[in-house]
This record gives sequence, C-alpha cells and structure tokens, in this order.
Amino acid sequence: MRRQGGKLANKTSGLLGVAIAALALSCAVDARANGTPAGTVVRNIASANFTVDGEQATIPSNPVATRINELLDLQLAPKSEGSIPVPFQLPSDFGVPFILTNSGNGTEAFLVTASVPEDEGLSLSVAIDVDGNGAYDPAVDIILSDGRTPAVAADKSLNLLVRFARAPAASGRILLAARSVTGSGTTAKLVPGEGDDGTDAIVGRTTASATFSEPFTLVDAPVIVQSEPASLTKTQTVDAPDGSNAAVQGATITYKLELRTTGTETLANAEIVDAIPAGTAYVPGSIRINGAATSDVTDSDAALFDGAAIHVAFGDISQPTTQVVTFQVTIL
Amino acid sequence: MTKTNPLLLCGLIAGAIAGAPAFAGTVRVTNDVMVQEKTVAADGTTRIALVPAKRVTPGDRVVYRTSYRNEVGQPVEGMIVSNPVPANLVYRGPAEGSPAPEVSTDGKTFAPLAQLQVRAGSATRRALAEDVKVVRWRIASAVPVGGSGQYAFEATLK
Repeated sequence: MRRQGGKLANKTSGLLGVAIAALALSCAVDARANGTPAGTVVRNIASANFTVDGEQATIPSNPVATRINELLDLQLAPKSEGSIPVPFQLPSDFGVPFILTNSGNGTEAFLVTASVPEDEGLSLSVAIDVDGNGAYDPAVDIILSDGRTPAVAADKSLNLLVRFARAPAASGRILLAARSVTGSGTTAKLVPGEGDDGTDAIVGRTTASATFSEPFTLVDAPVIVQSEPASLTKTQTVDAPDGSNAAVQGATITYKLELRTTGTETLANAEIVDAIPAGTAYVPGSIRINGAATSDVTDSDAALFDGAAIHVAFGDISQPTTQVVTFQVTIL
Repeated sequence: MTKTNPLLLCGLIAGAIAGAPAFAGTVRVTNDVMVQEKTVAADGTTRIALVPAKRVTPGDRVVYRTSYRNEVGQPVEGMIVSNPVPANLVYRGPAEGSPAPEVSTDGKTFAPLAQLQVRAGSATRRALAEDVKVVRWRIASAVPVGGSGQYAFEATLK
C-alpha cells in the first residue's frame, strides 16, 4: 500500500484517517517477523586492499543501493477447530472468530467478505474483535462497513468476527474471503508504484488473497413438527335398481370418505362435513364410521345428519391415522 | 540499484579515507547487485543468467558481484577483495562460477566457514552461513598491470 512520509495514502482523510490509523496500531496483534520492510534501502560497498611499492591502499567500490519492494501476502485462519456451534437463538455478542495476518512486508488494508452459500439470503458482516475476546461488543469492536480493514502493519494480525444478521436456516459453512487492497491474484503480479514508499508492489506466494470455508452447526433449534396436511379422498359407487351401476333415478350412491394423516402430533377437533348433493336424498342411518353403524342424531356417537350434510366429529385423534366414513344417498 | 561512475567515486573516497595515494592511477573496484534469471532454452535445458536486480522482495536470492582491475600502472601485491554482507541479508555461499571466499563472523577472523566457531551463550558452536558478516577473497600472486578478477556471493533477503 502506498505510504509516504509515514502517512497512509488511503482514501480516508482528516480525523477519520487518523482514527483509523490509530486503530490499526491498537487492535493489531503481533505475528512472526516476516522480512525486511518494504522501502528499506539495502546498501553495500565492497573494497580492495593491496600494496604498491610497500604502501598499503584501500579502494572502495561504487556503492550499490537496493530498495526493497513490497510483497503482498496474507494469511487467513479460523481461531477454533471443527464445526462451529451456532445457537438458533443468536446471542447479541455472537461472532465466529477468524484471524487475518498481513504476512507481507508492507502496510496493507484488506477487503474481507463473508457469506453462507447454503443460505444466500443471510446477510453477514465482519467486525474487528478489538479486544480479541471472541465476542462482539458494540462498545469496543468495530464493524467493517464496507468490508475494508484499516491499514495493518507488516507482520501484524487482526482478530475478526463474522456476524450473522439472523440465525441461519440450517447448518452450513461460512465462506470468508480476504484480499489485499493494493493488489492480488497471480503470484509475481506487479502493481507499479503502489507499494510502501512508492515502491512497486508484487503479489506474493499467497496470491495476496485467501478464502476459508468454515463449517458451522446450528444448535438448540426448536423441533419443527412436520404437520403433513391431512388428505381426504372421496369415492362413490352407484347401485341402480336394475342391478347395474347406472346413475338413474332410484339408484343408491354410496360415498366413501377416507381421511389419512401422516403427522405425529394429536389431531385436535377433527371433523368431516360433507353436504348431500342436490337431487339426492340422504338414506337415514347410513353413516358408518370404520364400518360401525351410527345414528343420525346428536348423541354419544360421532355421526350426525343435519338435514343438509353429514357430520362426523372425531374429536382428538392421535396420528398417523386412517378413518373411513361411508354414507348413502338415493338419486331423486 | 544506483550505479555511480566508479572511477570518479573511487578516487574521491580513496582520497578522503586513505589520504592521497603515492601512486598514479587506481585499482578500479566495481560492485553490482544481480539476480539469477532462469530461462528455458529450446532444447529444454534451463539456463541461468545474472541480470541486474530490479526488484527485490523478502526471500529473494541476490548475488553481490565485485570486480577489480589494476589501473595503477604497475603490479600490485597482496590484493584482497572484501565485501560486508548487508544487515538484511543472509549469506548463502559463493555464487556459481566464483571461488569460495574466506568468511568472517566478526570482521576480524577470516577462514573457510567450516573452520569458524561462534559463541552461543557460554559455549561455542560451528558458525553457520547466517552468522557470516564479511566475505573476502585473497589473490595470492601479484596482479599485473591491467589484471582483473571477479568474485561473487549469494545472499537471501530476510
């Protein structure tokens, strides 16, 4: 990242820029030493000693000065192993901790994005875990509004927290991606003049980018009752006076109503109501529940004919269940 | 890499440091920073050429190449070409085609690396390449007028 005279030449300016620069210093964590800083000038002068006519002389060479370029590298890693438990009832301080290390030799800002591929509608944000405690505290930690980190000095790390806008729909994985703002991509790619102190920046072995897929497991989710809709099928058979199946005047139609449910909970106040078709007359006393005869009036059995429709009130029945109701009408 | 006129610079610095020499002319000492550039030839073989170091980043291997030429006008004796290993570099060994230098971990005692010891706390241990601070080459015979030589060592940028 271009930096001149010790000032960061990023897009922010004024007080905010100062605040962000200070932040970079205060919340970055030391990582292992990682090479000569970009912009360092390595100088060398060789010399020759010899004797001429008994007189010793020392002659220096021309000085050579090599300005060290900026290498763009980063490392991204989770701070915990294995699938991360994500509570269904998300605590307000919940965050999945990662660590981003500037393993290059210059001061760099990084762009960080997070997503859950299995739940594309789920919005994720990334925060700097300033105190490094693995929990989000709005008074201390800082959400990266545009995914861009403040400048991170070489060999320093940032503790990051990936935050969910809501609980994910199911277990899945967090896809975290980070890349150097100055440049990333193919190793040895050149970004002229954009390195520290105006040096050329060069993409390092890490490609100055990283993605990390971290599995998580949704825990403590309420048991979702799979309440399959009840199916009610109605079939009919016709018996004509002549012994045929013709739907003629005087023929009897037997309706069969079959209620099937595949749920697991108790089905409350289940009732079948079926109106008698126009042009037919109910055959008194014809309601059968699972083959058992019932009366047509309100009494201890479940069946009732109210003059227009049959009613069968099952009350509470445990599932899964199959109930078969038959009744008859005659064609007028 | 900055390269100044060697003749002019040598004359100036020699005059300033050692006082004006009593002899005419000088021994021209030229220093270069190079890197190995590998190219694959048509027959599939890899060729390594030294090219001036344009861009150097940590982990890169560079070659410091020093040449001398006797322009004094008479033979010189006891020629020693020496070069400090810059602070941010780790000595790796002689560059291809160059004789092995004598090395020193303190700038005073010079020997082949295998014969040097360094202090490690209260004990001593064999010196390692990263302990090397200065390298030098001694030319046993007198260097005739116009005589020249070239030496080089490899180092890795920390």
